[in-house]
Amino acid sequence: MATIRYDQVPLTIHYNDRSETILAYNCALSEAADLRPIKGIGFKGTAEQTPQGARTASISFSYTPVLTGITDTFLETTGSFNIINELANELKNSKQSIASGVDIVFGGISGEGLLSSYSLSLAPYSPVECDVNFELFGSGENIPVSGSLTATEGDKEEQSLAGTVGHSAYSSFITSSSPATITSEDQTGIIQSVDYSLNFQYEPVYKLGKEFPFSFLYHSAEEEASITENVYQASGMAFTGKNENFNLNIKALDGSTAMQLKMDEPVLNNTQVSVDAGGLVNATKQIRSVY
Amino acid sequence: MLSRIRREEQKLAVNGTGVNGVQSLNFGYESTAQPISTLGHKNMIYAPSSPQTASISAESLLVYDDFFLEFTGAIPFSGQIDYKNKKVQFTEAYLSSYSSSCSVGEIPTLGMQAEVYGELGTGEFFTPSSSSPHDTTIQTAGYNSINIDLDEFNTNRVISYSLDIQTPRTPIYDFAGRTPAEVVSDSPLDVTLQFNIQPDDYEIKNMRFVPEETVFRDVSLTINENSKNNSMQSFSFNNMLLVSEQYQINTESTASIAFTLKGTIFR
Repeated sequence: MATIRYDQVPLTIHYNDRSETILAYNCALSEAADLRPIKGIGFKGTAEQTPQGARTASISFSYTPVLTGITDTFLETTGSFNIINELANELKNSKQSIASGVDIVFGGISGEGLLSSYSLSLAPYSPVECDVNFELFGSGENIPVSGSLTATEGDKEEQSLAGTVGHSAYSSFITSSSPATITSEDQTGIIQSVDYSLNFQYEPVYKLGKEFPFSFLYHSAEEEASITENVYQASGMAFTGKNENFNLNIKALDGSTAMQLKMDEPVLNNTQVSVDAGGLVNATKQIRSVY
Repeated sequence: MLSRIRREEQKLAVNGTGVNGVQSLNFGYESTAQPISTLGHKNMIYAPSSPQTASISAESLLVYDDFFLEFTGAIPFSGQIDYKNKKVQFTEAYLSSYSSSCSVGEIPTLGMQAEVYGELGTGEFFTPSSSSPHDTTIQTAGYNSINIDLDEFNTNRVISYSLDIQTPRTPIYDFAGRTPAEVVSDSPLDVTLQFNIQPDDYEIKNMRFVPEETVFRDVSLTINENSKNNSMQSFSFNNMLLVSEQYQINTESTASIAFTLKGTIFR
C-alpha cells in the first residue's frame, strides 16, 4: 500500500545530543531547483532551462512544545526546555560566525536544516502552538534531503492527559519593569494574547565547482512580540524607544516549565489602539530585539 | 430499591434566596479538553483547548415577582441547587438571556439562561445560607391580568406575547488564570418582542415599507396579579422597529398574525 497515514510519519529533531519526536500538527517538505530559461535574440522559444543556483529545500511544521528529553542540567538552569526553543535561544545569542544545522528526520527523509523562522501565538487557556521553518541547503556535494518516504509503525499507547505540553493555562509573564504590562494612571492591563516571532539571517557561502554551500555565516536575528491588552497608555511611546526586558514562561499542564522566551532589551517600536463597533477597545504593543 | 429524585426534593437558590415557581432547570458543562492529534504518534493526548465554562437555565412561573430580570445588568450571581441530600454550587454566573411569555390559557412564564464563568460542581465554593422561597405568599399572574398598550390591539385580539432580551457578555481572560479577569457586559442588549394576534382590521404592511413607511412602536406591557390590579412586572419600550409579520391560517384554526418588534437597550 502506497498510502501513508499521518501517524506513520514521525518528525524527529536531533540537536546537541538530544533527540525529540516533535508533537507536530502538520509538516510540509518542499524542494526547489533554481532554473533559468535560456533565451536568445534570433531564437524562437527557449533553448533550455538550466540551473543558475543550488537546489534548496525547506521544511516547515506547526507543533506544540513539550518538556521532554532533558539530558543536560545546564538546560534546566537556562530554561530552554523545549528542543527547538533551546536551539533558537542558543542561536540568537551565538557569537559564532559559522552556523551549524540540526538533523531533521521526517518519515524516513532526512536533512540538515538551519532554523530560519520561529513563531508562536499564545491565547488564554489553550495549548501553545509554534510554527517553524528550516532551510535545508545541503553541503558540498550532498543534496539537501536524502532517504525515502516510509511508514513507521510506532508503539500504540493509551490516551492520556497532555501533561507535558506547553499550555497557556499556567504560563506567566515576568512583568516587573516589563513592557508586557501596560499601565495607565489607574489601571493595569490584562494581557490577552501574545504573538511572538524570531527570524534568522544567514549567508550561505558557495564556491565555484560545488553546487551546495560549504558553510553558512550567521548574521543576525530579529525577535518581535506583539502583545494585545485592554489598556492604552498614550504616553508610553518614546522617541528613543523603551528598553525593557520581556520574559515569558510557558508552563506545561503539570506545572513544570516547558520553555522560556527571553527577549533581551527589546525596544517598544509600535503601539496601536483600535476598536470595532460592537467590540472592545484593544491596545497592541510591539516590541523588538535585534541580535 | 429503585430510587429517584422528584421535584419536592430539589431547590434552586440564587444569592441565598430560593426561587419560586421553578418549572424546569438545566445545568451542566462540556469539557473543553480536546485531543491533540500529532504526526507519528499512535496515542491521543488531551489538553484544555479553551477556558472552561458551564451553563444553567431555568423556567419559572411568574408567581411572586420577576426574579431573574434584575440579573440582566452587570452583576453576576451565585447559587446552589439542592437535590436529595446533595448540592451543586455555582459562582460567577452571568445572565445571557432572559425571556417572558404568556398565551391565552397560560400562566406567564419566565426563562433565563446564564453562563457560569466561576465554578460549578459539588465542591463547596461558598458558605451556603439556608435557602427558602423568597416569599411564602404566592401571587400568581394570569393571562387575563396582562395589559398591553399598542394601537393595533384595540380591535385585534392578542393571544400571546413573547419577550426575549439577549444580554451578551465578553469574558476577558489573562494568562495563568482559570477564570476571567473581567467579564464585560456588552452593549446594546437586543430586545425581541413578538405578538400573536387574531386580526380583525389589522393591515399587513407592504414588504418594502422600510424606509419610506418604517414602523416604530412604543410598547408597554404590564403583568398584574391574577384578577387584581397590583402590578407584578411591567415593561416599556420606545421606538421598537417592526421587523416581521407572518400571517398563518389552516383549515382548523382562526387566522393569526405573528409580528415581531426589535429594540435595543444601551447600558
